[in-house]
Amino acid sequence: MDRAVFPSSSTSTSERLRSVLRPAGLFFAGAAATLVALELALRLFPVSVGLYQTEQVEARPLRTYQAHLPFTYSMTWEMRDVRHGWTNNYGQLAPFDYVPGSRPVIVVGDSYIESQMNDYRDTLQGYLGNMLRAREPVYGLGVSGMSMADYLALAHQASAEFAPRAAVFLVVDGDTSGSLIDQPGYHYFRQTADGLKLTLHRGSLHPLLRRVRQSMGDIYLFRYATRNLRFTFPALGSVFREAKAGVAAPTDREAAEQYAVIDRFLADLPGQSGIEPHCVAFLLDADRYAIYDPRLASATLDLPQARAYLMRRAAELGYRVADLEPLFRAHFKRYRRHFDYYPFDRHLNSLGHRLAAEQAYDLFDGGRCLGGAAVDARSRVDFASRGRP
Amino acid sequence: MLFNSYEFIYGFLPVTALLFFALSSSGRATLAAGCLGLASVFFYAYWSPRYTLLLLASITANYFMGRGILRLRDQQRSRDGRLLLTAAIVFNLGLLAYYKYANFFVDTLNALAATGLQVERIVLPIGISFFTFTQIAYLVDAYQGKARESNPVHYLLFVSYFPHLIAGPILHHSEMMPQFADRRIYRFDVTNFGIGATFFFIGLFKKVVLADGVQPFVGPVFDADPSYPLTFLEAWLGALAYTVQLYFDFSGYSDMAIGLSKLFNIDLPLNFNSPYKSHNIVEFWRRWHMTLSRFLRDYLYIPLGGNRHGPLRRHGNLMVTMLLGGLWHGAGWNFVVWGGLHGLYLVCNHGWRGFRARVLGQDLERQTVPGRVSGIALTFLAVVTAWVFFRAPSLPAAFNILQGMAGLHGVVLPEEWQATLAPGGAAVLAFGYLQAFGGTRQMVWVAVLLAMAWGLPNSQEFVVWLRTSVISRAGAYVAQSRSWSMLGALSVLISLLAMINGSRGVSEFIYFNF
Repeated sequence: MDRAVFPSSSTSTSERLRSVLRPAGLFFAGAAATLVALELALRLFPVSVGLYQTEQVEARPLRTYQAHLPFTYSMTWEMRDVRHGWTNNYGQLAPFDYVPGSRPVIVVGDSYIESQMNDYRDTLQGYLGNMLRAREPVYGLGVSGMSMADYLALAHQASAEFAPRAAVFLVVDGDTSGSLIDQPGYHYFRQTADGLKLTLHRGSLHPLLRRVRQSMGDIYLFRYATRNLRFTFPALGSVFREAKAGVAAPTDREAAEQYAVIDRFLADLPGQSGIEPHCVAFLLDADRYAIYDPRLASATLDLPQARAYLMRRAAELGYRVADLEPLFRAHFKRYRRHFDYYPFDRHLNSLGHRLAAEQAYDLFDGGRCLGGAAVDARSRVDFASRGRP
Repeated sequence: MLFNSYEFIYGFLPVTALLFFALSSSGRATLAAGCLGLASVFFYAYWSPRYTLLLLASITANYFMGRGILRLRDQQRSRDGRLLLTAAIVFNLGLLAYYKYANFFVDTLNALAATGLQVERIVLPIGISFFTFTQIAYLVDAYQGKARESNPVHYLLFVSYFPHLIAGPILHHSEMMPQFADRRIYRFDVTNFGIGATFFFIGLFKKVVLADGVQPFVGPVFDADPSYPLTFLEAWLGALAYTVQLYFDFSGYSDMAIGLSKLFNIDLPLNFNSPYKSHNIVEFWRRWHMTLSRFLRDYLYIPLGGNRHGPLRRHGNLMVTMLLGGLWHGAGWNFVVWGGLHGLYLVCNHGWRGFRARVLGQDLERQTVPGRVSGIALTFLAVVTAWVFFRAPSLPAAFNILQGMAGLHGVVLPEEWQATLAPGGAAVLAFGYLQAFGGTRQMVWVAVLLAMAWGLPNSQEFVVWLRTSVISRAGAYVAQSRSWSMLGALSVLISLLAMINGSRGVSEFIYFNF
C-alpha cells in the first residue's frame, strides 16, 4: 500500500502530516507549473482578449466597453477566424468615433451587431454605410447579451446622444424571452402591478472583486476559457441539473409574457428613440441551420408565435418589418452558401450581414427617413451585384 | 455518461475512486469490488435506467447459466452441458438479434418480399454488442473448462466494469478474473494512478482535439445528398478525414478505458497498435480493434475450421468471419459490404502470400523499403475505401463518394485557389464552388493527423517510454514525487480538455453506435 496516502497508525503525527503534505505540495506544484506554462504558451496565440467593461453601469448599454482599446477576437478552441480591432469613443466596435448630434442611422442588436467575428466593413452597419455612401453616418450599436429591453434603453440613450434619423433592429432568437431575465449589467422588464417596468440590474460587485475580475481579464488562460471556450462555472453546475431536467413545453403564461414584452417594446420605442415608426426597420433573423438541413432545426428560446406576433404588430403600428427567413432560404437554394460560421458559430458572416443590409436598405427605399439621401444613394449602389453569392 | 463529459470527470470518477480506495484501504476488498461493480451499473443507468434492467438480467442469467455449465461439466454430463451452452448462446444472440437486428431484418424482408411488416423502432441498448460477446466467450470457455468463476461480485464487475462497458475493449475472463481476485489491486498506487491518468489524458486529447477537430469536415461529404456529385477533392478529403477521425476517436476511447482502469490498478488489454502503419491487411487486423479480432478468431474463425481444412475452406471461413464481423458493427447493408470487402482483402492477402512463398519462392519475412512503403500505401488505400461504406448512411451515398474518389464526377479545384493557381485562367484546370470542401484548413488537418498516425509512437509506446525513462528510472522516492507532480499537471490538462469538449456540447464516441 502506498504509505504516502494511507499511512499506518504506528507513524508519528508529524510523519503522517508530512506524508500528506508532501504529495499535496508536489501535486499543486505540478498543477501550478502547468498553468504557468499554458499561460505563456497562450500568449503566443490570438486568444480572444480585450473589451473591458466600463464601471459606470448607468452608461450601459451605449457605453458598455472602455473606449479606445484594442481587442482580439477568435472563436472556438482552435482560435479560428481571428479579428483585431479597436473600440471607439463610445466603446463600440467601430474603426471610427461616433459624433454626438450627428443624426445617424443606428443599427441596433446584440452580439450579431457587435459582430466581433467580422471586420467592420463586413457588418450590417458597414454595408449599410457603404450603400449610403457616407452621406448619412451609420452607427452600429451592439453589445453581446442584449435583449429587447436593452434595445429600448439603448434607443433612449442614442436619442439623447445622437438624435438618430432612422434605426434598424436586428432581432434574433432570445431577444424577447431574454427581456424577462434579470442579469447583472443588463436591462430587463420587471413585472409590476402596473405592468412591465424597464429596469437595469446594476449589479453590486465589490470594488475589490471588480479589480480581481479586471485582472483576470488580463490572464490569457482565463480569457481563453471564458471567451474561446465559453466556459462558466454556472454552466458546469447546470450539466448535472440538465441531465434530469429536460426541456419543458412552453406554457400559456410564457406566451403571454412574451407578447407583453413585444407590446411594451413597440409602444415605447418611438418615445424612447425619438424616431417615427416608419423610420424604424426590424429584421428578423431565422433558424439558418434548419435552412441548410431540416434535421438541424433546433428549439427556439422565443416562441415561434411570439416571433409572428412581433412581425404582425410591428407592421400594424407602422414599423417596417422584414423576415430574413425567405430571403436566406431562396439564396441558399440558389447558391448553397452559408450565412454564418456554420457549424461552429451561428453569428452572421459577411454574406449574412450583406443580405441583411440589402434588406434594410430596401425597407427604407424611397422613404424620408434617410433625409432624401436614399434615392440619391440608390442610384449609386451597384445593383448588378445584388443578391450575388 | 461520456468519459469526456464534466459529469464523468468531475463527478462520477472522483467519487468512485474515493469510495474504492477508501474501502480498499480498510481491507474490504470484496466490498471495494462490489462498489466498483455498482458504480459501473450506475454509470450505465445514467444513460438509460430502463436498459439497466436488461444489462442486469443478462448478467444474472449468464452467471447462472455459466455456473450450470460448470456444474454439468464437473458431473461429466457433457451432452447436457452442450445443450445448456446452446440455450445460453441462443439466449444471448436472441437478445442481440431483437435489439440490434429486428428492424434491419424486417426492413430487408419488406424490401425483398414486399411483406409490409410493421415493427416499432427499437432503440439499441448502448454497449449490448460488447457485453453480449464478452459473456458468450465466458460461456464457451466455461463449457470447455477454461473458465471457473463462482464469485458473483467479480462476475458482475467483469461484465459491467465501466471503463469497457460501452465500447470495449472486449474483455476475456482469463485476463480479468485473476486481477479481481488479486489483493494487490485493492490499494492506492500513485505510479499506476499516474500511468492511468497519462493514458486517459492521451485518449482525451485524441478524442477532443484530434477526432473532434477533424469531425466537422466529415459530415458535409458523407451526409451530402447522393444526388450531389462529389468531386475528386471533396470525396478524397472527406474519406481521409473520416479515416483519421475514426482512428483517433476509437483509439482515444480505448486509451481512456485503459487509463481509467489503470487508476484502479486493473490492466485492460490493448486495442490498437498503430494500425495505419500495417504493411498488409492481415497485419491491419492484428493492430485494429485487437480485442474484437481476437474474439472473432477464437470464437468464430477457429470453430469454423480456421485454416485446418485447406485454402478454399480457409478463404470461406475468412469471408464468413468478416461478414459477421461487419454485421456485428451495425444492422445495415453498408456494414455487410464493409465486412465483405475486408474478407476479400484478407483472402487476396493470403492468396498473394501463398503465391509469393510457393510460386516465387520468396522469403515473406524479408521486405525491401519500396516493398514496405508500397505495402503500407496499398493497405491504407484499401482500408480508406472500405471505411466509405462503414460511415456512409446508405449504399447510394457510399457509391457517390467512391465515384468522386475515382474522379467520375470531375476534378474541380476550389474557386478561391484560382487567383493563385491560374490568375489568367487556365483551360486545363477547372475551378468552382465546392460545398463539401472545408478549405485549406481541412487539408492541413488531414495531413497533420495522417502524419501523426504514421510517424508518431502510439499511446502505449509513449507511456512505456515515460515509465521507463522518466518515472521508474529514478529511485522509488523520486519516482513517487514525479508521479505526484505529473498528476497535478495532468489534472490541469485534463480540465482544459474537458472545457474544450464542453465548448462543443455533446460529443459521443463513434463506437457507441455499435
